[in-house]
Amino acid sequence: MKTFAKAVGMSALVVIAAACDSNNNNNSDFGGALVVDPPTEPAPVPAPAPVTMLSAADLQTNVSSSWFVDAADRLEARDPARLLAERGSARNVILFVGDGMGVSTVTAARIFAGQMAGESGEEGYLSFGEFPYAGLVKTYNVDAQTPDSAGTMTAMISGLKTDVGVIGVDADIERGDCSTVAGNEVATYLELAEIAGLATGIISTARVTHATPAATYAKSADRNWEDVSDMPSAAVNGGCEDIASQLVNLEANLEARVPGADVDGIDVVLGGGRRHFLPKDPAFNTADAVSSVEGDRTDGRDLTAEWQQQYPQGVYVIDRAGFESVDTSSISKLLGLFNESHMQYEADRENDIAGEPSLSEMTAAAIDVLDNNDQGFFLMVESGRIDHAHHAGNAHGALVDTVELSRAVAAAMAATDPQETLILVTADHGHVMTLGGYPKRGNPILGKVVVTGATGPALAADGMPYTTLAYTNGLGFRDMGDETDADAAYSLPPFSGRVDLSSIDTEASGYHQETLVPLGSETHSGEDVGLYANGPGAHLVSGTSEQSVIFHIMDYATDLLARADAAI
Amino acid sequence: MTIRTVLACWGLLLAGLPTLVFALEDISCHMPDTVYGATYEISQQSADESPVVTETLHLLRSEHRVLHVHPQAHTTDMWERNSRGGVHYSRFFDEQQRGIEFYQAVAAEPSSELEWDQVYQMVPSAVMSPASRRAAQQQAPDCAAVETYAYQVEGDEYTLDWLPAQRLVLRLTLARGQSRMSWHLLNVSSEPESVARAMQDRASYVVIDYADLGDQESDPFFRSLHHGAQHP
Repeated sequence: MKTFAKAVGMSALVVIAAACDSNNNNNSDFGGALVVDPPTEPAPVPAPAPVTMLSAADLQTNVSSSWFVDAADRLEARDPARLLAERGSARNVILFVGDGMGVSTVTAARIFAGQMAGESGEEGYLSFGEFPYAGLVKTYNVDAQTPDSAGTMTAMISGLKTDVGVIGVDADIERGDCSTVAGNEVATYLELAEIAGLATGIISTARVTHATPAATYAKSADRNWEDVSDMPSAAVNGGCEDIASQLVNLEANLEARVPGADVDGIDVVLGGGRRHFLPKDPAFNTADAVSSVEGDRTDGRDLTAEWQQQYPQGVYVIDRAGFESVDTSSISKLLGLFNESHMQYEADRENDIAGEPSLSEMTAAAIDVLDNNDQGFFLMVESGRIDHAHHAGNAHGALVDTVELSRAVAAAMAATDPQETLILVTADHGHVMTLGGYPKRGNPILGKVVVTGATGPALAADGMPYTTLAYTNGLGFRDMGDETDADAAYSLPPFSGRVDLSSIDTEASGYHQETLVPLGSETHSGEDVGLYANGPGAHLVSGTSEQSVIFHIMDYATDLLARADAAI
Repeated sequence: MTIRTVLACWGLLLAGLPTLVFALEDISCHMPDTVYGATYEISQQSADESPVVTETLHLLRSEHRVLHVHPQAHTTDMWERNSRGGVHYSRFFDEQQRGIEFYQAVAAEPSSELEWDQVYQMVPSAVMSPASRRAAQQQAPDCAAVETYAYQVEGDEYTLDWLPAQRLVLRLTLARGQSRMSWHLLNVSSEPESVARAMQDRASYVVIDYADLGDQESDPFFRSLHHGAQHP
């Protein structure tokens, strides 16, 4: 195990060894047997002992991290008896990440969904709102009070917090310095799943090389190194590999890093970001190209061709028609890159010429492919454009994408057995959208505040109406009518302050809420986000946790580290 | 975001420049059949009679890609037209070697041809109607034909000297009240590689999507853009 831990770069991995006695030195020594089969009879409640066992030798970076130890202690304290009894009881894990889906977004989307269905809205539930377990997650990065997606997803998928802007490495990294990557790489849950023989998949409505999906498979000193043209020459010459290349080369890279491992690469990859996979040559343009030269790669590599060569049995699609033609029940490898950059906002999806599948359609298809593997599967699903709509100050776009995430979770619930599949739904961070005023019950969530008992909009001290949703900072007010592309807002400079909204339809898709602080892009927020859980191990979700605990919960549910260890 | 919006935001409709006293001079007699590059002097004078402000615009164009280089502002705007007629817009910040691009969801709006005209030739073809035509002349047999148009758009008065064969503005004057703004052609290039060369010069820039601007706090320039500096 020690070898394995080192090999996969597990400087920060935890080994959940709840079944082991705290006095058993083997548990803290990776040279010994780590895993005890789940008992067939109820086991005694163990004495207070660390659920997470760290090897000082292997995990030097994290042993001294107070949040990591604290997270492990808190996980252990939640329900040690069940922890012991149910360890490894999940066959599959699906992790949904609503990028930027803070609590106010969840609440507003819930009301929005209800109102779209003709109801008052407040009384309804999003699909994951009905999960039996929920908790709060602290999102900060090691070096940032308000985090970014790179650091937060690394925490979720690798079990440790790290710096803002870096992917799959610990906080000893210096962002942008290739030379600091070696030795600071951390293993991810997806990589462990690969080693253990599970099927794996990632879905994102952002580029599949964007921070959240990238953190599942890549090690990078900078989240922006999505292809070789994004990297400084020092990084290229220093031997660092761009993120897209790491996606395609995961099998070779992981087997090189973990002697004895036999992996087969990510089985399902669906999202946007074709430009990072294609050469900067119009000859490689697809029919769906937006730019005159679609590809960005300056090394001449066509990674889609390399992927197809590596996986001749795999299916590569770029549009809705191709997606719909896939026989998901029989294939084992699927690569879908549906846009040159990010996929469309859900509100704007119908405007895509070539056509894109929805997040729920991609989720259902991915599960259909992945469950062909009898060892189980791990699937990460990111709704990436909630974040972008918020950045553009467009609550409508964020809520529509959040509702689609809810549909995707429902699709996953329908396609899996809750007795064997742990489904987690969370966000990497929030946004500075607020939901307030004193609107009456059933008041349109995107509308102007109409107080209880009134029929017309309430007026603020400046004599003008105001909306329920607003942003603390960002681009501010825009009245763009029925525009469904939130990014259209960037064509105008930031505008802070109030506008007379009396004659403006604030419920229109192109309305962008007012803001106080003018910024070129609205920002993330630093408050806690929700974590919702259903299935084996879900009971570990409660209270307030560090974000890195999510890895430990998933590992506990599937006993993955032990399975990976056994596989090599 | 439409191209018209971009143009409006990025300064082609600056408020006021002086009308240049500019004879239809001999540049029309040294005109290649196809123009791939043109340099304009843009002058503006506002109604308060403050000093005339001049700047330079380099227009570089190929069939599907147009660049407007603003050397004084150290910025370059680029529009690319894809095979479906959609337009992809980017702005480069030449001093900082950075760029930001906008991915348009709607590939082909009904007005896209009109908007492409505004980028490619700086005026929409629709304004060159028989009703607005005032004159046509050719200084000498070897010179290019020049057409003169006068028209109004939303109260602004335009006078255009146009090189139809080259699809090129020779001189354009906009009068808004007492303000004046004009574009005056200084020279042209018949070098087909102008656009490619300009793109090559910017090949090493760090370019991001607008959608990703909010995640670029580590880059000092993008951070400044995020905080409102140099926003379009």
